[in-house]
Amino acid sequence: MNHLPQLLKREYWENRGGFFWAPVWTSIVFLFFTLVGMAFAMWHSSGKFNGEVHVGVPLKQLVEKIDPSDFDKVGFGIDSGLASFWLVIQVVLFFVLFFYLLGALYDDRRDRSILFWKSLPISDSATVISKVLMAALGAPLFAWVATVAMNIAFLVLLSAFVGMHGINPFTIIWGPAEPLALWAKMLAIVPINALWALPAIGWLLLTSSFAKSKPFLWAVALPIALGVMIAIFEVFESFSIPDSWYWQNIAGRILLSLVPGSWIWLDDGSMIRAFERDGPVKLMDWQLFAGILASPSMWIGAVAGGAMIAGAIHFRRQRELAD
Amino acid sequence: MSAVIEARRLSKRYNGTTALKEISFEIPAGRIVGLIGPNGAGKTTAMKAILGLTDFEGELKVLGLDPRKDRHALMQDVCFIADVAVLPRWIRVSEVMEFVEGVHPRFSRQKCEAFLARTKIKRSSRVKELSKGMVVQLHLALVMSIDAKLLVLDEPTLGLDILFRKEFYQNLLNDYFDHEKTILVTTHQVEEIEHILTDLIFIKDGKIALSATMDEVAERFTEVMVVPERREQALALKPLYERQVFGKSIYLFDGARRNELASIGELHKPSVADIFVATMKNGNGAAA
Repeated sequence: MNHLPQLLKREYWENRGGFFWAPVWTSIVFLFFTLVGMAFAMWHSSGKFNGEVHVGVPLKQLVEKIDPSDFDKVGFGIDSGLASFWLVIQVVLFFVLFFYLLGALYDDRRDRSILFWKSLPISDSATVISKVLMAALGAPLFAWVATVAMNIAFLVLLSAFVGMHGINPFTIIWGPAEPLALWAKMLAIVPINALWALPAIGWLLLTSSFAKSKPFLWAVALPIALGVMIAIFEVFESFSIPDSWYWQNIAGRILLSLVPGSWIWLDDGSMIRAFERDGPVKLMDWQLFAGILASPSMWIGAVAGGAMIAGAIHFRRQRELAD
Repeated sequence: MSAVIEARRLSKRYNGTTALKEISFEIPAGRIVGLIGPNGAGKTTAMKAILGLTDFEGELKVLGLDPRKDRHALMQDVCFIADVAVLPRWIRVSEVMEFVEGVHPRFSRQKCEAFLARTKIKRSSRVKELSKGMVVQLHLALVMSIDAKLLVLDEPTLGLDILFRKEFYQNLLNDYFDHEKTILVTTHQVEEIEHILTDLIFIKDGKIALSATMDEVAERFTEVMVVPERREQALALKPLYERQVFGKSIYLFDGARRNELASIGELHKPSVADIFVATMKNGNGAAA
């Protein structure tokens, strides 16, 4: 296990593109469009363009008619803007992780480089655990850093924008918005997501180490086929369990719980209402996190995920080359 | 010194077909052993069993450890180059050195840098940007910088041109091998390694067809070139194998008396390749 830092570095070297460049490029593209939006808004204020540009709040509103009673609303809007950057990066992260995990224990069997890795004194469990850690914590932390960097760039751009209109950015942007609280909560969500994603991480690594070929088909088609069989043969009917139970608690968890924040399924809808009412900072409050951590679904999934990771280690030891 | 590899009744079956049939052998320290056999004879299976890469039946101890259970402890003292070009294509030369240095307690970065300095390999190149020959040079540099007790080479020079192949074995012999180390090598190109081997194991249909030191081989096997008139005489001495060259017959004998053979024709020292062909074509194989 003392090789873990080196193994994690190895994962990073191999997957720089997904872990580092994907969030960076997403940020750059997103910021570019924000800049374009601001340029349009400037143009608009010179009377040549009639449209609305939103960055959580309409840009027009920021520089024209705002009075102190609207500060809350502006803060809400900017926080939502910051959170939406986060959301985009999280979507990218999902795809990166899904394909990373599917290939993690398969690609080196296909290109035979497993023969090199296995010629070194590294245990199979350390290898698999390094991949789990990278998917559960490493990549999400990179994504978090990218999000914060992009958020700061965005706030600076926005400050410059209102500054150019002769408004003090500290009263209208840095005062009402709560970026620090937002970032802290984005960071706090990382381990919760990781725990929630364990069944998906376990399942994808298991198929990755098990499949002789086409791990994607194994990973996706198998749970779907099983669900269809359950529906056709009405397996669950006899226990009076609705078929949706399978999709939500088995297929959904092993395939989609990598979607960051997808534990929102556990909620009865109060979270969505909280978001609409209070904005993203309030939505992600500490009590909510505690409630999610206390749910049995979280922990049953985590145990199942752990078992599948153990299975992945077993097949890592057993399986030889892929086709 | 105790044996580096000890196999007793080692067997391996793959869905119905038997790759290894209860083979037993022992390899002492400080030897360079050629494991030679046709495709599908079980060479690679035996190698994989030794390296803990496959399951097997029977008993096998490598440096006193069970390769199935203690693979990662074993790899502290065992290195292997399995086939050419198994280095991951995405990795950079500097990264692979850093990685091996990080995980292998017996790796010397200094040695590796010195070996690489003799080549044209750039530190910043990715493996996929290197030629096949350079990839093998890199792999060899990495492996030779590890102070291991056993080095296993499975067709290490397959697909390389002759210059690289010569250089490969030259480096191995001059800069790596000593009496503490043991090298086990499989190859098709017997003639290339013949002069560096100390021991020979022929493997045929999952069984050992011959296991002997090179000295014993030189002692046991003799070739006689016989003119057609003496053919009957030669056959009476039960040669292992016969081949025709320019109208003369060449007979290979195992364990026959030299002076007896000298009376029927001209004696030669057979090459390992000739002994190999004779052993493989012969129904029963030479006595092990």
